[in-house]
Amino acid sequence: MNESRYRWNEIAGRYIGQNGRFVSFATVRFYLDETLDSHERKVLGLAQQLREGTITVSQWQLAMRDAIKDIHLASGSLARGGWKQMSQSDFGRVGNELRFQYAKLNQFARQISNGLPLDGRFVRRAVLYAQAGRVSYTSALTQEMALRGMNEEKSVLAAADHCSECLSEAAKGWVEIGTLINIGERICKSNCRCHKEFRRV
Amino acid sequence: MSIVWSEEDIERMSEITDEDIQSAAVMWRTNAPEEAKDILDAEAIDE
Repeated sequence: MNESRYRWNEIAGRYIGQNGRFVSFATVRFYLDETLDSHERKVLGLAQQLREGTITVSQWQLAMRDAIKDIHLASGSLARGGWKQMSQSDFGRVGNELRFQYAKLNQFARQISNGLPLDGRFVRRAVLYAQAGRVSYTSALTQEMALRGMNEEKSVLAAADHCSECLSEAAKGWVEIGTLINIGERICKSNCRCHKEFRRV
Repeated sequence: MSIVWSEEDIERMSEITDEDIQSAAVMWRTNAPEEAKDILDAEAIDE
């Protein structure tokens, strides 16, 4: 691993930037969103190759499997403070998410083999896998914050279009931690750009 | 044709190796914004 400009405050569960201050939840989420958006091009490329017939369904399935693992490993690690902080338990948490994602991918690939049209809906569904790192990240972050004694959370809207559930979740303000509908499980699914803030009262 | 994965296959594929971590680290460094490329290499401090 390389030298980093960032440090991780294990007690607070927060990154510290070069200015010595905590990096905001919104900024960390921005980093994740930018990364997932960029990595989405790979998933789009795979979908396009499958549509053009330059790869088989099984090749697509295996390439998606690897892309999904990269996404969830990096997203889970981001919530935990980076690679050096990841314990066996943290990797187990990522593994649990992978089991779920791979079961869904298995089903998706079978549907494609059975004639699911490779149209725009197929592409949008494939892209959701690329964006699903938000679910891993937010779930892990919520657990990490609860472990550190945070007992309230709120959902904060991003500068983007919002689904009705994101609007209603944000309107609740501060609520008991773990009670908001998780990012990625709302109507907008893993495209959700909202982030969560935490506090102890 | 797709590959039909059994529950055992999915269990095995969900295990995480050092190679998987290296791959994910490369993915992050390739795609993250410039100011965040090294965030996952952060060292822990207790204060």
